[in-house]
Amino acid sequence: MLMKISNKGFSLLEVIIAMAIFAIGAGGLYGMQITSATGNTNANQQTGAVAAGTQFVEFLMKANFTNAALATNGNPHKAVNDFPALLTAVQRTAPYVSAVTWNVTDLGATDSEYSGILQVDLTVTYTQNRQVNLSFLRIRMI
Amino acid sequence: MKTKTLRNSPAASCNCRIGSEDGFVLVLSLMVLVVLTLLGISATDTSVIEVKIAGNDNVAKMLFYNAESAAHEAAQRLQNEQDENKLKAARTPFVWLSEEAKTHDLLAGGDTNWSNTSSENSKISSANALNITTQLAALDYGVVKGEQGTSLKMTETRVYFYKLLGRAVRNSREKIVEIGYKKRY
Repeated sequence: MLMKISNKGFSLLEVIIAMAIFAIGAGGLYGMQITSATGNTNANQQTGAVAAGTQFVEFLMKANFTNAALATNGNPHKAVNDFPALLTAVQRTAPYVSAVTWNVTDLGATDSEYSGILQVDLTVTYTQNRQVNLSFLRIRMI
Repeated sequence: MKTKTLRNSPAASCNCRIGSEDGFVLVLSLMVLVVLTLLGISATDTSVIEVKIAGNDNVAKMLFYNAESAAHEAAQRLQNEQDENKLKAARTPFVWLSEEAKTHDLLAGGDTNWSNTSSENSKISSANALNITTQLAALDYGVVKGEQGTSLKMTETRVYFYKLLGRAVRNSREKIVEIGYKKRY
């Protein structure tokens, strides 16, 4: 007796093979998406960290020249100590910023031609100890 | 005797595979994969561009602060100098202080205009490890009138006007900051 062989629907083997191929491809694409998302996050956080850094640079620009935040003997200066309110405000929009520190060097210490000029090297630390650096000169007359 | 019919499609009678649904699931899954791949590529592309934007933004801000610092440095150095003669472009010992009429088009930028005869490296460069070159220059516009509306009188103190320029370069990208500076004697 002959049984009727029906090919309607999909054979199990066909579906399994197709699913296997799809799974391999989808796995690769998953990795691609993860990479893409990570890249986006990193870019976003780098931009945020730089923006946070500029906030502190501008704060140090407008601070009094004799402000403790610009003292050469307080290195490394920490935002937690010198500008806690600004750090809190920055962290509200950029929670990944963990610390802002800066070192102050007096360029006029060795050469009087440069007296009244301080070099400030500012470092913003964010996610997983990544850092962005901003350096600038602060002069007495502004 | 019954013949084994494979399928009901009209193409079943011919030997070709048109209309055959064999491997349809595979084809469908591959098509879905192609669509997902395109999405993935565009996402990666966006991400790569975002990373570039962030990096460029970072560099642009560093360059700007370096250029601004150089201009500030020029201001403070002119401020520190007490000898009036040294602040005249014709008699100055500063190579970075030149007459306004000089041919160097400092505002246009470029390494030629910013050669060492018209500029000087800023002190800030020494501490910068990011391959940024920072230069400063000052243009002497000479004695200008006193305050607005008054003419130059010999009995009045003289006011000198300078344009102070700072320039930061990294990988042929440059930023120039220009500030005005007046000094009265």
